[in-house]
Amino acid sequence: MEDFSTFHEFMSFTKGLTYVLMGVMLVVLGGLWSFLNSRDDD
Amino acid sequence: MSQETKAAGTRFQFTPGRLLVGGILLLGLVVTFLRFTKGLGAVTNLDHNTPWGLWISFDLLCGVALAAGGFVTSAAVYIFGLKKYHFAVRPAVLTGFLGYALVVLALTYDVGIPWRLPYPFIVQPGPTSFLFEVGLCVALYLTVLFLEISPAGLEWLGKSRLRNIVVKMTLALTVFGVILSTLHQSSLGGLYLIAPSKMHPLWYSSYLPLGFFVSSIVAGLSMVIFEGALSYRFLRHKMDEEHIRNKDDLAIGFAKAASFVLAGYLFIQLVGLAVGNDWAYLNSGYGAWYILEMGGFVALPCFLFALGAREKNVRLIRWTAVLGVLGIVLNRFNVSLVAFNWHLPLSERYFPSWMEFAISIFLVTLGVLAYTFVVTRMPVLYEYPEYSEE
Repeated sequence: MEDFSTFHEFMSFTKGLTYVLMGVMLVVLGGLWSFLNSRDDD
Repeated sequence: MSQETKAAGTRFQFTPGRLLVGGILLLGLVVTFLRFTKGLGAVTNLDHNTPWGLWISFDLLCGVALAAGGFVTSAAVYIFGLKKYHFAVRPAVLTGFLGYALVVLALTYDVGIPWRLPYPFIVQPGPTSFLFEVGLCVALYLTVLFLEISPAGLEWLGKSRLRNIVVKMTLALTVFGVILSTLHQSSLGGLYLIAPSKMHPLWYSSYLPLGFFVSSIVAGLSMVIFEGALSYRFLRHKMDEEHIRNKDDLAIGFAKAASFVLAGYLFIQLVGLAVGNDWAYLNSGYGAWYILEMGGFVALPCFLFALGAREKNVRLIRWTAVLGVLGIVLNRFNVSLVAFNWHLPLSERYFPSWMEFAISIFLVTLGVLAYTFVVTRMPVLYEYPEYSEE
């Protein structure tokens, strides 16, 4: 586990990681949507 | 058909299945008698550390989540306009109604003084409590579900005027049902927010209410697919043409939705870990269990639902729906039993007594019997021709 000296450091780390996860989620959910629907026109 | 054949067809026969059901009901009635004459202590292993046991974890938390098919299907048809799934509304709403009715019945076993169950509404309300909100929503939603399924009974009884009045309220009831479900499905998760020091950090996060609500959508979708497959297998003779023709489309459509929602749910769980910086706990026994839940019962069904929907493999979708249902059961057990009081020594941990299991199995059996009773008599899996255009 990372060592945090201040609450600010903790929040910066966890919030930063959350923002990265949200970005990944946008890309993954977009990809999943097209995976699910790409064969609907067949 | 000759009189003899008719008589032979209606004569009650003792089959192994019927004997099993009879045995479960008999045992359930005996334990029910013990519960209401000798109290909770005589039939349960509950204690001050774990006052909520199997009856809350399974009968209530799993029951409410798995009964979500009613609001999910109604919303899909009447709010999102997916009219092609209209045939699935009544079976889903009936399952929801029976599920919630059994939740309330199970609560009478679990509440110490069951006849005081309505007290929060009429004697001593606690409007700031999550439990009050859950109780109020469940009571109201059970009424909504009863009204939503009542047209089937009214058609069966030939009460068309009353039936037409209820049918005109369908959209309002659906909207009300979605609002109530959003509130109480999430509040069930909210109940555990009060115990951060008792719950394992991997399962505890401020996103518990959101996780409970989103996973209930998956539970509802999976249950509709699973229950549709069972109905087709055992009650096919009660289904009309439209039901049989469109059942695969329903499975594919709901599998797509379940896959997408599961992916969202997985990210909610990851964000919960990130916000609490709980990653280090993954490298432990509890961590392995958590990874199994997230990998085997969230990520895997997400992938299999997507694959099944894309390849139009209904068989795969049906088996994945079973996995989805098991995943919800596992999650509710993990939150309310496994992760709860995790720091206690094993000797002080709660494990349900056989009588608690007997009551849970008794209630599920009652639900299956009630469902079979209704669908073999009322227009649930088929429509009467005079109402089929509506």
